[in-house]
Amino acid sequence: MPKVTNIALVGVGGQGIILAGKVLAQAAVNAGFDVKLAEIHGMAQRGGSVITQVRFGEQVFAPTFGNGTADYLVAFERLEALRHLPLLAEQGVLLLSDTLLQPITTATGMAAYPRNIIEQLKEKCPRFASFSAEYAAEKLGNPKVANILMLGILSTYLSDIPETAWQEALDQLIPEKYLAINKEAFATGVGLAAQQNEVAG
Amino acid sequence: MKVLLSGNEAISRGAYEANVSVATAYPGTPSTEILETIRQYPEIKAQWAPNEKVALEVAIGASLGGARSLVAMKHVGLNVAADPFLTLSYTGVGGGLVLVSADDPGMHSSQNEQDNRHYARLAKVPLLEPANSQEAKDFVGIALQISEQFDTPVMLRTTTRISHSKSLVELGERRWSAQVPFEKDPAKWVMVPAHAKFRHLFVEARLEDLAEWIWRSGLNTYEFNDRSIGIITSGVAYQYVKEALPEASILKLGIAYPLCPKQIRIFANEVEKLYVVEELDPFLEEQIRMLGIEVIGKEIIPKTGELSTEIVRKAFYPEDYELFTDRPKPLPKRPPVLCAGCPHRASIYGLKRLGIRVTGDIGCYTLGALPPLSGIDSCVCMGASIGMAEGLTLADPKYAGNTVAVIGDSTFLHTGIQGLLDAVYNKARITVVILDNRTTAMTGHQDHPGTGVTLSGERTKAVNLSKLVEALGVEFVAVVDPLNQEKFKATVEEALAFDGPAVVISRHPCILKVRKKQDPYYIDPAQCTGCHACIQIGCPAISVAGCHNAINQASCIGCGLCVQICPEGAIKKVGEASA
Repeated sequence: MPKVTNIALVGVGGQGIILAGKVLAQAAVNAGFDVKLAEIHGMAQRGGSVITQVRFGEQVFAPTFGNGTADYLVAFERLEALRHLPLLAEQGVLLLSDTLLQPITTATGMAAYPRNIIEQLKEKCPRFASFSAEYAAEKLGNPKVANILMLGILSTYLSDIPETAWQEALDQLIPEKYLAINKEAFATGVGLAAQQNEVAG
Repeated sequence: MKVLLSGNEAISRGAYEANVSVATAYPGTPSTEILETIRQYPEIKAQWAPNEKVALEVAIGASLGGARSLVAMKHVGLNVAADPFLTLSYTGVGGGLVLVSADDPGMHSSQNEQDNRHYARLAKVPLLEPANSQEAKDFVGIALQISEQFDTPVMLRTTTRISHSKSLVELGERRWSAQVPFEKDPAKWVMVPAHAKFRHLFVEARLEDLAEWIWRSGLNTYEFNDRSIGIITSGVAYQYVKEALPEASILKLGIAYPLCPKQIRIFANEVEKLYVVEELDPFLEEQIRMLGIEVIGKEIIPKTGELSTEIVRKAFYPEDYELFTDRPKPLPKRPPVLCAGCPHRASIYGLKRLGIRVTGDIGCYTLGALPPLSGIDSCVCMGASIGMAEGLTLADPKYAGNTVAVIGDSTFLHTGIQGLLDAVYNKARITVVILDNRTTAMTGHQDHPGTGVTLSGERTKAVNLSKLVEALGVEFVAVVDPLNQEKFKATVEEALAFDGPAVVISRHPCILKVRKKQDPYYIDPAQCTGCHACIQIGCPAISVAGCHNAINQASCIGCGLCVQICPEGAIKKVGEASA
């Protein structure tokens, strides 16, 4: 069967994951791929754990994928990265926007927020890169654009999707009013990924 | 041109292209976006109804008048609309009528995962199941053709993974079709026994005609490959089969009811071993078995929850999955929560402090049943809170004057009114707290008859809740803002003491709708004794921080509920001097 690229975007309701998934899927469409995107609405959005799955390739059947098959896991929160880590394929890449959001279960002391998440992620995932995406987004003027900034980082890994396909997707999906800052965020992400690669290399 | 559309967006596009001119619905996940996106087509008169029964009745009227109509609802919505639906099968249609039932296997946002394919069989109407967005769009047009050709409503059933998954769709143009004008025909449209007897004969004959027609319809497709495994499947399950078992032979059913026995037999004869892969109930499996054909289904495929590529693969090749047996240790859960500043929190917390029984309903406030709030004792279906509160008082008189039903404004208008009417009629000593946040919040802020705005954004008459409940005969009616806890508590206490059914309208707009952020609060560590009273309201902005607690300034919207709860006066507005 021809290769399908599987990407999971995970985090907490309200972090802009649905929009990030739409931009990613549209960029893959613009690059000429068959695409499927699976998202969840309704109750799951109220501050709960959320996941959007995007798949692209020559022909894609199922809208979702299972454990051990994600080529990329883009996580917007530490605990959610750990929760969804089983999705990642053996050689899969984990990109983390390093923020910590207490779920209601730990905020109220009913459970303990795990202390050593970063160590666990490093241990379990050889291809792991962490970014202060919200901090970088805040410097641009809006911490909410961390979602698009992470896509900028992801874009440097997806050589099948050219830069123009991403820019076009942003033009198609981001309202005029917010387009400039989102494009800036995307470019910042591309830059951060380059720095990270230099460090790693 | 190919565009990326969700199943719901594709269904609205399909309605547009197939010349639908009337579309109705009550919002419900995962169906809501169908009507929300259909309103972009000015050619279609699209409107929210107060509930699914009314939505369907409006669509039936439109069909009677010769218009092509579409009505959309979530799976449990069809329970509400079942009454007109089952007799609509007898009357048949004027203009084509398609009913979209969006099921929710896995219960992403529902109270049960009933399999609505049974409704097609119960009503004896054809059932189409799209497997991607392209089919979701195309099947609307096909459903309307079938509807008009066979004089039947047609059910188009999606599931969450079809409704909320996006895939590429080739768009078409709107095709004109003639509108058949209303013709007086009591034998068809007036379902009294004398007429219905004949229509029932028609319904049975129609099913047989349909089964014959399916044979040539092209809606069901054979894919012959390796013939040692033959799989009959439909909807999103087809996609999982394609991926999990690329070598298998497949009979993909686009029309999953009625079955065409001839077609099933041919496929069964061509393969060595026949399987059915379907989500939820053994709907196809049992019917195939009734044809006397040997088939394997629910022996290996789960009856509960969603399917996936992994689950299907595992069912056929369990030996491949030993790798995945090590279960990681459980992580802290992240359930959905009421937003910071949500007025429902104030209402539920205020009721909890009274130590009474609280029957719940369907809406965001159902989240108030989760810890730490744990302030709701039941949730069954839309409108159930009121009848259930009344039932509690009948079970044991100690609950009279001691039981509250909480119900949202949109839910009250959906099916709460009749419950309250019953409470008045039977003199129940209950208090109904209408959580009036001026919107249908959980499904994404749709308007309803209480908001004064229609689906197309036009101003309209807003129902006056106080006058409405007074007209039902309720003699104690009060309106209160739950964020004033003292007043809220006093009002509810007064209502509970009232000798007869009482209504408290707990009114404060949904915080996501208003988006007005006031100065946030902080906890003064010098005064905080770590009693954690503020933690008990379950606000996502407040967390345990060491032996004290802290408020996240970015998430706090300054609603001031926690200030009223802190016994030490340790919670203060940012900018005010600390003591």
